[in-house]
Amino acid sequence: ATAESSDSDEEDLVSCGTALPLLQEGERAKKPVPLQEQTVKDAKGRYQRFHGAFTGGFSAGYFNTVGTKEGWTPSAFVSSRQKRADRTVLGPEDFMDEEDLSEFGIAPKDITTTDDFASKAKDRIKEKARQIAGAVAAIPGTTAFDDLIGPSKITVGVELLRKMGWKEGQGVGPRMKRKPRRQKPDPAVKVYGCALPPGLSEGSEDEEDEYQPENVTFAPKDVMPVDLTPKENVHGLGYKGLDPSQALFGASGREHLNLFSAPSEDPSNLLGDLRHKGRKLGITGQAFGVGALEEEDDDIYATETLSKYDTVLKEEEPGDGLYGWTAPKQDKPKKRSDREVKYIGKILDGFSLSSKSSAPNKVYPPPDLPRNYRPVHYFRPVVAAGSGSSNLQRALETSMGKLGSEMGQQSQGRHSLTVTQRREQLGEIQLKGPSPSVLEYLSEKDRERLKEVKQASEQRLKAGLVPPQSGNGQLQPPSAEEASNKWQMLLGAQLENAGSSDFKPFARNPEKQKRYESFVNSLKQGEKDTLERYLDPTMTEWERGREREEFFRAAMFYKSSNSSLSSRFTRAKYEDDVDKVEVPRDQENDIDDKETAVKMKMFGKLTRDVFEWHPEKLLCKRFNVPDPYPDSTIIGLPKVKRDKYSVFNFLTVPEPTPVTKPAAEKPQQNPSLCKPKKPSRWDVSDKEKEKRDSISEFISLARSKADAQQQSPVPAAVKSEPGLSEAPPSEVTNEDKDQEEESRPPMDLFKAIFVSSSDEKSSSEEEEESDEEEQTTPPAVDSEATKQVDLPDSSSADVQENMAATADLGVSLLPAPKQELDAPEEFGPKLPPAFSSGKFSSFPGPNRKEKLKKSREKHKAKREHKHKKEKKKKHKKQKTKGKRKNKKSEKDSSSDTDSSDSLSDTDTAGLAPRELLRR
Amino acid sequence: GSIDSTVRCWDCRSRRPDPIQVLDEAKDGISSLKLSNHEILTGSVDGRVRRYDLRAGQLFSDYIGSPITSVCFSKDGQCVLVASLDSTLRLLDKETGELLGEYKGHRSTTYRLDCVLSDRDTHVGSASEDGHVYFWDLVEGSLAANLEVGNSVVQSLSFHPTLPCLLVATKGQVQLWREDTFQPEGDTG
Repeated sequence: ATAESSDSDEEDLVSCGTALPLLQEGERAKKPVPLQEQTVKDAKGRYQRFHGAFTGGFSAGYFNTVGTKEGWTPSAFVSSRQKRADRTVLGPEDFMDEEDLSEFGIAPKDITTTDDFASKAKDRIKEKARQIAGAVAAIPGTTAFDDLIGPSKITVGVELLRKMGWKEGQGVGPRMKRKPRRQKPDPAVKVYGCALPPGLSEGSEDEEDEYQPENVTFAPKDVMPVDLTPKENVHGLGYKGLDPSQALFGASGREHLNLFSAPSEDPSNLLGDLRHKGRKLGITGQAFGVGALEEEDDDIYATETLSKYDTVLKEEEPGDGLYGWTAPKQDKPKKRSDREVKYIGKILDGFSLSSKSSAPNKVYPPPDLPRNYRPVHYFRPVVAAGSGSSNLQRALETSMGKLGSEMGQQSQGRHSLTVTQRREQLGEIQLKGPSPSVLEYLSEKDRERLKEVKQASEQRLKAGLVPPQSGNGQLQPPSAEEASNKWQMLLGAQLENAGSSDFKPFARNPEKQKRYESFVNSLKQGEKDTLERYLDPTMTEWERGREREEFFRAAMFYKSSNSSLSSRFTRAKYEDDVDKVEVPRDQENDIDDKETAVKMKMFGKLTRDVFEWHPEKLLCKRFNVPDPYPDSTIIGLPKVKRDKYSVFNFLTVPEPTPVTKPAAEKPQQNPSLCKPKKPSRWDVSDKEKEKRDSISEFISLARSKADAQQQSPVPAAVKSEPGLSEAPPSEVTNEDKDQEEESRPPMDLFKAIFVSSSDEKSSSEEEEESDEEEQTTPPAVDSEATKQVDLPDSSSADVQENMAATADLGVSLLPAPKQELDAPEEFGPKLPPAFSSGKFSSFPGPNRKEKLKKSREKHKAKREHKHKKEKKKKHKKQKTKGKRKNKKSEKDSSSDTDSSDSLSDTDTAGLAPRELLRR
Repeated sequence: GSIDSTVRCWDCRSRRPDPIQVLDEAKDGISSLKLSNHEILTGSVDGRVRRYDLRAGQLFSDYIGSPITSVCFSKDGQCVLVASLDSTLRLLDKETGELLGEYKGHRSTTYRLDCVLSDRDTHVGSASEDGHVYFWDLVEGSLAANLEVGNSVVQSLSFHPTLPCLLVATKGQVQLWREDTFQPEGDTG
């Protein structure tokens, strides 16, 4: 929608997203499909399928491919005798869905260079890395053929390097003159760490170096890529599992390979180390581990090969065992074993044995014991330590025992020294840590003064006064011991018998409250010095002091209030912070009228309140009664959420005097005062009515004074065309109003359309009634029609007076016909206050006359309230009545509000008299 | 019924310690509580008799004015007898709440005293603070009997549900009253 509007306004705006399709005239906007109803489809429009049978697991295969409970349909046996030739072996791909073969499936089928055609030779760096990693092809010689055959697979990087003049085999970097340096380690130079493997394919390069001309630059030497194969398994270092692909070879093939690798052990070989790896060319890996019954588990890092195991039952193979037969190459293994003697165990992959043996560790002989040494120890008495922290020293001594201090004195071992001792020995200055008392920071003079203050306060304390904060204490709270002493005296006895800690002075700050509680506990137990540790150590000294003071005061207050006050108060039923409050929807009526009813012994309807009440389901069950509200979730009386400070909550409270009315009125006036800013539909409706009712015109004149501003723009539009176009302008102006009003059906619109000023009477019965009143009421209340209509309303006042009189006279019972009049009597007193909005309080009878007087003054204000009231009312009838109210005398208006109130209210407080009579 | 102005219903079959429903409509302590087949009748010190009808799912609250000390159903289940601290017993129609009868003469101003209906709903009885037990004719409202039980407050009173038999508790005593013609079987104490 935004894109649309921006398009029409300015062309140069950038629109993001796809614009919504333009709505046809009269077409309704489609409801968007809710999120939970939206379904995903795959490319072929099938619902919720993104995988094939193989890729998606069991359920995918079950639901997508097979779809039946029986699972795969077994294929019928077909004799393949005739067509044995074209019998095809079915592969797994034959059973797969295309999703399985797609990019994300289990067997993706995209065009790639298979390994058969990929060249490995061109990629020598890779090749080398592979060789070093040991993951080489079974036959080393085969790579030579790969050079000749097959397409090359050269990466872009290599291509670029080549274009820059790089040749394979060279290193990358500026060309340089090669210095005739030798890689051979100088015997004089010490080699730290691992020595380089001696024969790492450098032999050939070194040989070339001998022929190098003087003025020729060379590319830098190719760097051997470091094998950075990450270790992904959890095996031990150097362990290799059995390779199943190689395990498939027969034993003889292995022998062949071993034989093959034997002659390739000359130093010019690219893989100079191959003689070490010769064994690895076979099947490697430890398959079975060390058996439980085997005695030797010497080498857990040994790379096991299958060649060690016999796969064929035959005679013991000669050669390795050297049983009576000398192998042709005897010296080689011997040489190796010669070296391996020094190193017990096998050499790890990637490591090689250092040619030079490290120097043996020097062994120092134990010191000679002196001649007079006796292995028995004597303890000597403690010699006092340094002057500084004798306290600490003593504490330490007691903790360590005499032995420790003795030892410390004797041997001066640094572990037995205390911190202060060490500090003294090192000559360090004492750190400025938190001092145990504020007093230490004070000057001598201040200390004196504090003492005086303290003494004075203590004296006052003894006199039974609450110690006032000394002037000094405002900024510098008393020190810990001072304060605790002081307060301890004060509180000591009280806290002994202090009850449970319901009193929570610091409930807002839970941590502080916790500290306070532990503090009080310790106070109770009479521990003076432990108070300090409950205070927050991160606080400053001053803060701690203040908090201490606070705690003491709180503890005092706690005592004094605990017994006397707490028994009189109970916890708040409703939380203070919550704006909304759950109040019972129906409340028992005020008892004033009931009191009178009881006095007259008129039990029954007058004294009875009936509420909807929801029993618990289990309770019904136990009573063996069907649940009256099987669908309801409420238990007990139905409750409604109301604004906590809403006037409606307080209106049920009977108003004792009309004096409070103006005060209560004020909040009501406020909305009406700010009304002129935003003219509402309801104002329009008033104008509309005014236009129709000639009688009310003069009142509207009076009104227009008050809200001339607001009316000036709207009525013009209304009066000019009272048709369809009326509602839109009002709705536009209503934009800033809340949702509630927006959703309200525009009754005036309907009225404007369907009800002309002439045929109002035809609309409804209620309207008829009100119209009658409209026409007749402005004069006196004498005419017949008015009496009939007004009887239920206006009679209440008279009846009330009668009732009051009868009650005073003590007439016990009223005759039966009067009962009908009595019923309104119950509600007669409950006339709404002049501010009429939704829920009304009742009025005690005697107040009525005063109120009526007052209501004249408030006439104008009341009209303003009518706006507010009309907002609350959703019914058309109420509106007409409110309108009628303007023209009526005060009495009428009050009774009118009464009736409208009773009709509008859901509350029983405002239950209509008619309704009751109907029962 | 509790002095904390609630009625709490526990389920005896489950072993849950918390009540399944709390009826907290009363504004003051519950002084009396009676159950019928499908109703819970409570009398509260706030001067109201509340009848929770489980079958109808409704709460009927009848205002009496004076603190209620005792309530009870009539045997036929149509009426409710209410004793209050204004030394008055009232018989109310259960359905409409109308006053059917009023019984005075005893003294009940401070203690929580019981009221009873006789076994066949013929009489209304109440304990009194003057050490008597009063019985009125239910229909006529006239004093039918005045039993002198003791000289202090008659604390508790209970009528046998089927037999003309009254159990009375007063200061330090429990008394069983029977009709004149009654012959105790064997040696009764």
